[in-house]
Amino acid sequence: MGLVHAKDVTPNPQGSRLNLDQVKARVDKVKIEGLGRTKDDILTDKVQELFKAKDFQEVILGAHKVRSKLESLECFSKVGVLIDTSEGPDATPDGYQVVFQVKELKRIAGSVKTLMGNNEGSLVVELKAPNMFGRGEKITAEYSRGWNRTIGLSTTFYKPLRVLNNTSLSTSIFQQGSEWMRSGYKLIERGMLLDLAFNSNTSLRHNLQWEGSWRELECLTRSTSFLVREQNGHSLKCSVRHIAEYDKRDAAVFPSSGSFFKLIQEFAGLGGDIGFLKNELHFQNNISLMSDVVLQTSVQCGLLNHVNNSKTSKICDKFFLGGPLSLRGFDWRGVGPHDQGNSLGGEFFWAGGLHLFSPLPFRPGGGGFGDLFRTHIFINGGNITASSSDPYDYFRNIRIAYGIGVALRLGQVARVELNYCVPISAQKYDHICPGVQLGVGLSFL
Amino acid sequence: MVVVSEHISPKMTDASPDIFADDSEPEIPEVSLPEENEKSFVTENNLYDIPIKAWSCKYIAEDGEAPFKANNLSSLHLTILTMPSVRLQDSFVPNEESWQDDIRLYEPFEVEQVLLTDFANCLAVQAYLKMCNLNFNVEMRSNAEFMSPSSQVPFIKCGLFVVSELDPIVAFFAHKEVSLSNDLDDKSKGDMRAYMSLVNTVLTNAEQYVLWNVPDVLNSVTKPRYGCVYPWPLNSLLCWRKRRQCLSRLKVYGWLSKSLSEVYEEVHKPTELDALVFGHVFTLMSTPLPDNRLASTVRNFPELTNLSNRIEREYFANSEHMKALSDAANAAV
Repeated sequence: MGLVHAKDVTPNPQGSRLNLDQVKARVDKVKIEGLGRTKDDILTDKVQELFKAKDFQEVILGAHKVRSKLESLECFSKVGVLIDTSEGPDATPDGYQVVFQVKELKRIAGSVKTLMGNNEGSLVVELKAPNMFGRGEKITAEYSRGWNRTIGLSTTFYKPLRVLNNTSLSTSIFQQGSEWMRSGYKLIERGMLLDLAFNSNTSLRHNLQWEGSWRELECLTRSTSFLVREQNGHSLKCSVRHIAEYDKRDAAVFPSSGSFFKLIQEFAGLGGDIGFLKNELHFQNNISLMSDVVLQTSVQCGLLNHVNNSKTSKICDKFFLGGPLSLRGFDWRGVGPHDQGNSLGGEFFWAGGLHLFSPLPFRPGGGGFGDLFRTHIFINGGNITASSSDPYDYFRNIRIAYGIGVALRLGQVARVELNYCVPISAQKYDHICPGVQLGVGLSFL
Repeated sequence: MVVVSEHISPKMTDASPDIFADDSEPEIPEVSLPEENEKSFVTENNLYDIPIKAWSCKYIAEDGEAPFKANNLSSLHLTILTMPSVRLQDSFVPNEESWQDDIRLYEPFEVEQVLLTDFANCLAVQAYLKMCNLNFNVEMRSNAEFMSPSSQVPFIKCGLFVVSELDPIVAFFAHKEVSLSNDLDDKSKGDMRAYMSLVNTVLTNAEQYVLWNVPDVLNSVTKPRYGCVYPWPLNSLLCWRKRRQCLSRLKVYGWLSKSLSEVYEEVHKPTELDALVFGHVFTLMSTPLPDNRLASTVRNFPELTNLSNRIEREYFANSEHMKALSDAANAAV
């Protein structure tokens, strides 16, 4: 006698399907069709991992990975994948062959596009020679013109390096003209930039740069402050820069979680007549409070030090604070010392903001157009001063403004904000901007 | 006390365009009192102008105290609110006194940097200011050329005004009723201007030609001096740019096609003015008069007597009569 514990045999939910990771597979051959000028050596590196696949699922996933790697080379306009059983005398029983069908980019491509920068839209005309020498090198020539009368010209040579993933070297020659109404000056920069970009881990990106630039400062009008006029003329800046950027946000615009961190360090004075050490830090953190409500904290600060008595810094090296992208409730560059209406900038600044983002009330157009919008309430504050030995000075005379507004996402990178701002603390020389303020840009406080 | 106010009468602002005539559109410099009620105040420790408008930040103005420890701010604010109007009147010092104390002349470094033409212009302005009995401070800046609104040195800063080059500076002070040529009538003023422009075109062009178009001078003097304030490679780059500008200017005046000897000829070439001056000076020196104070005044200017002697030697070499006259004159001295 005994008990029999019996169970119904429940049908395997995946029984009817084929379990791909159970299917043994081996990649015998990888073929890339459609190559012209592209060299083999950069491609063999990229497809290596396909040969490690043990089952069919890994083959498929691997093929997708390789495909996106090939696309990221920016050599091909189209990459197709074909997986087939391998044939021929060398074929193994579980053997497969993977064929990538690529179409190379034309030797020269041109484009005309509009760009949204920091409160400025610009038209960019670009001429590009992709994959020049067959290893992903490219040369671009660019002309841009913004509605704030900024004009840029640049030629860049870009080369990916094979030693490490995501490592690239680029050099560019540029000329950039810009007009700063609020500070009463016009700046023309001409120079050369060498840039080495690499990742030290998956989400921490570094740029090491060397820049040599000839800057020409001019007054915009006759009524420009004499303190700005004094700095007119030519100067030469030679500097090395390190930029570290860490981005764990789930989206660049309206993120709901994650944090972002950027550190810019610049040392000028390796030649030329400009010398300073400049450190700038940007930090942003997002916490999802309720289903759709996000609390965003952001902090920015920067410090400019003089390191050499014989070298100086000019007004264009200084920090400025205020405006719809930084300290809302104040005019562009409206915080800090002014002379005859021109903002003079400072050597130290900090600013912090606290935002509460939520979707539009009652969610009109939800799931579509309405998702591009957010409402937010915010309070932000900050200060800008000359550098001082007493850290307490940095926290005197804090400017504060709060407000409410609507923000609109433009593409995946830019946003437009329409805010009603109420400044609650200001200094006598600040230019405040109470009421409605419009901001368009990439990076906001 | 520091006076921040600058009183500008409407007449002044109307008449000022010719001071600023060298740019495309005449702009009246921004003066801190565009309206009657926006007045500047005299403060001991603060150089900022505080237009009343800035106080529309109600969070400061209405509460009467700054939300944070802004000592300066609140005390200033109270001073303004409580300042009786009489006190306000007192603090406006009449402008006749104030503007004269704040004249600064900006020029390049005299020893290392400045070039012939620029130095001549700087010296001319300095001489003019001294002749007018105006006190001024000379400030030497390596970027004086670029600070100047017309890209020409020297320039002066008087209060909020920035005026460059001799002619506009003269016009500027004429508005302030300082002038060296007040007692000349219009015709003589016109003549004087004509002579000034003669000097400007002939001598300036000749100087520019020598500086920028004579290889010896260019390499041994102009380039080292002009580039000395810039680091490599800006020094040669900016020299090249300046040279291009100067040569194109010379081209406009038709001087670039001249040879060096033609340039010297141009400077040496006598004009009607020389003839006239010669006539008078020679006569004055050679005519014995009982009261010869006029002749001795002329003799105090060796330039004039040299000019006269040179013209005499060159053009009257064969005239016995003239020779006798001048011998007699020299004997008289």
